[in-house]
Amino acid sequence: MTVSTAFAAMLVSFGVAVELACCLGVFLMEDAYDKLHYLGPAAIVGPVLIAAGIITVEGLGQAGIKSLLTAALLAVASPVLSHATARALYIRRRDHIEDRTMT
Amino acid sequence: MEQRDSEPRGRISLFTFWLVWWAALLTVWFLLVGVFTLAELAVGTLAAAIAATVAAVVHRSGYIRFSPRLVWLRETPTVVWGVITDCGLLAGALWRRVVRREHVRGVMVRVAFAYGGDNGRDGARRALVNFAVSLTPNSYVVDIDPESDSLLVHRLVPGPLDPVLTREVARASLEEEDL
Amino acid sequence: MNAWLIAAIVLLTGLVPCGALLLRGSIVSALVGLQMAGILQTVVLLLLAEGFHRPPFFDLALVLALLSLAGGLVFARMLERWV
Repeated sequence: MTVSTAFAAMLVSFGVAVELACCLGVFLMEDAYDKLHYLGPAAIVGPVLIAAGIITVEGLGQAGIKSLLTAALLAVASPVLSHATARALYIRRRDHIEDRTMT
Repeated sequence: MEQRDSEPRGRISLFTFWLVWWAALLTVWFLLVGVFTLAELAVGTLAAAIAATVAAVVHRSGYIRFSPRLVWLRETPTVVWGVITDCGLLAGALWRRVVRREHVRGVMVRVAFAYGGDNGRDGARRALVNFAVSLTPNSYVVDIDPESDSLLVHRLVPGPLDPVLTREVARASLEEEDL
Repeated sequence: MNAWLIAAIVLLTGLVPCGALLLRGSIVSALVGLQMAGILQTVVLLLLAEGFHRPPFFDLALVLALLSLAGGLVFARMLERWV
């Protein structure tokens, strides 16, 4: 195993760990407002680390550039989605719209 | 009294706007395609021209008023540092929830925020403040209230406000004093 | 089987809590679970693309990221008043 492969493995492992921790955060936090916070690191930190791992192995070829574009898109989309979802929840609670469960 | 800089001093021409969009989209095309051939250049030029035209038509119609200032980019390192530190705060909150089985509840904070007018400069400021605050994982903007000139922010771990928010609160206080 | 595919399989286990939230949570919590699942699946596609050494699969991840944004916004807007 070369140094770059080992470094890529470390980046990807850390990225996967961040994603799984954020899944746990989304599941375990009690209120929807609190769950929303864990979408941030999942969309920003995880994909950036994994894209960095791919770039370490593949360089800035097609694979590296597309991974970077995907990570950038997720990072830009995350705050937009967080705000939109939080605003929907705020309006529902303010207007006393029943917060139904899915079952 | 400080004159509020609400509109850009010089409007860029529609052609310049179209050209910038066309160049940016053609760059994205080649990043996605990965090969630089004559056929790809022809198709990319046409596709970018169509999309740039749509962007120019939307811009001309006035539906989207977005005129940011380049100097606002100086906040980027602060925001990036905020993302990193906030990940630590969220990790701590998760630790308290999972290991110590504590009830972790966030707080809703209403801060003063100068809403401004219905123009490109103020619209860009509202959008970018919202983006910067919501990008840092410990906080996100829930609502912007034009009537009370305030921002409703949810924070998972209570603490000092983000530097971007602190600056906006100071700006709102300054404008209130001017009035 | 290589390390990239193993990472993708490990990451797929994250869909279990997202699915539980979708099935058992409140409607807005379900939307949060859906958005989390979308992010996970995008990252899984990146890992699979690298694991199978198929460059076109990277386009799938890019398109899914874009569509997840659009879909999430539509759901959030609908949940404000109409559902």
